[in-house]
Amino acid sequence: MTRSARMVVFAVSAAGLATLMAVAFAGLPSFGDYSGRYGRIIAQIAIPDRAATNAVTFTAFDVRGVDTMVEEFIVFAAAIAAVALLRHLRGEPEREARPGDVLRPLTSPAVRVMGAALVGPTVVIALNLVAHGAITPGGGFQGGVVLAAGAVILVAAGGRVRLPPDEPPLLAEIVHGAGAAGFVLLGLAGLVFAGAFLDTTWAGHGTPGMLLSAGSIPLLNVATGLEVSGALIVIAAEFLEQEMLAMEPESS
Amino acid sequence: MTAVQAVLLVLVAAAGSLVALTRDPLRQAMLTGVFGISLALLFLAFQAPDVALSQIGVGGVALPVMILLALAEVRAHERKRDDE
Repeated sequence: MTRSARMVVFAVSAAGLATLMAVAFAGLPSFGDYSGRYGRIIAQIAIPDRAATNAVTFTAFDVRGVDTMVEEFIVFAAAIAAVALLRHLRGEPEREARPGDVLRPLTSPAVRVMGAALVGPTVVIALNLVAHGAITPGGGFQGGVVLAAGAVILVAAGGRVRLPPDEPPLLAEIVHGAGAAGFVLLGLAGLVFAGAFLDTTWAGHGTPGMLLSAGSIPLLNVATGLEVSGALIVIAAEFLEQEMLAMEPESS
Repeated sequence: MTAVQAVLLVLVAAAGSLVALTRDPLRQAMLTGVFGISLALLFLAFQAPDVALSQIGVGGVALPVMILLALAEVRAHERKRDDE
């Protein structure tokens, strides 16, 4: 097909798409209009029934708890897949470290100072997000990602994650497994103590707005935080082991 | 729609177009982060702070980092092949 013929086909399709889009947009409800019933019900029961002042977390961990569990296992599977795909590619180190070798950091002092200054606040924000998931915006997923970001800052600033060739599991691997298992166990606790899988009411009601309230939703947030942070750190570490650890031992 | 929401919608459209029009993968990875953060601001302006927090984590940090790590990986392989 020549270039001009291609342009004609494109022009016709683009005009057709534009017409359809214009018709579709004309039929949309007005800006900010909400006609769903589901949201109103959630807003009505979140605090009286579950003492969860953050209706979003209440929705994610209670109303559609099983969906959230499956989503969590997507992250879990992604980390496992990254390990399975990348670990067998792991090459032998260029050469063994010898006594007298010094590790020369690749990063500048400015980057290392910034990294050191940022890690603490990042971890505090992450823990804050996880702990207050049922009360204020945030939760296990958000906090977990921020926690993993803290680990990435550490590495980017010049820390090291050399995985030894004999591969003992990383702490993060245990953490992400424990988080995934914890979520399921908390779901089973709902089945045992309250009669339904992932029922969150068995852990007590609490006063809305307090740290320990909203039944088992805070516990589910902690499990999710462990799972997500562990999985992301595992994925990042597997990639990093491959290349960015260019901190090969240098002879002094 | 408030002015802030309108401005952020335009910003997101601009950032998204920049990501799509950039050809250098490294630059694209950095712009993906900028796009992710502008999307997070948009979510905040539309009163969805939970989604905005997820977006900061995923779009602003995790995705660009993964792309960067994958790029580093590809380059390491290319270097190794060139050496041989």
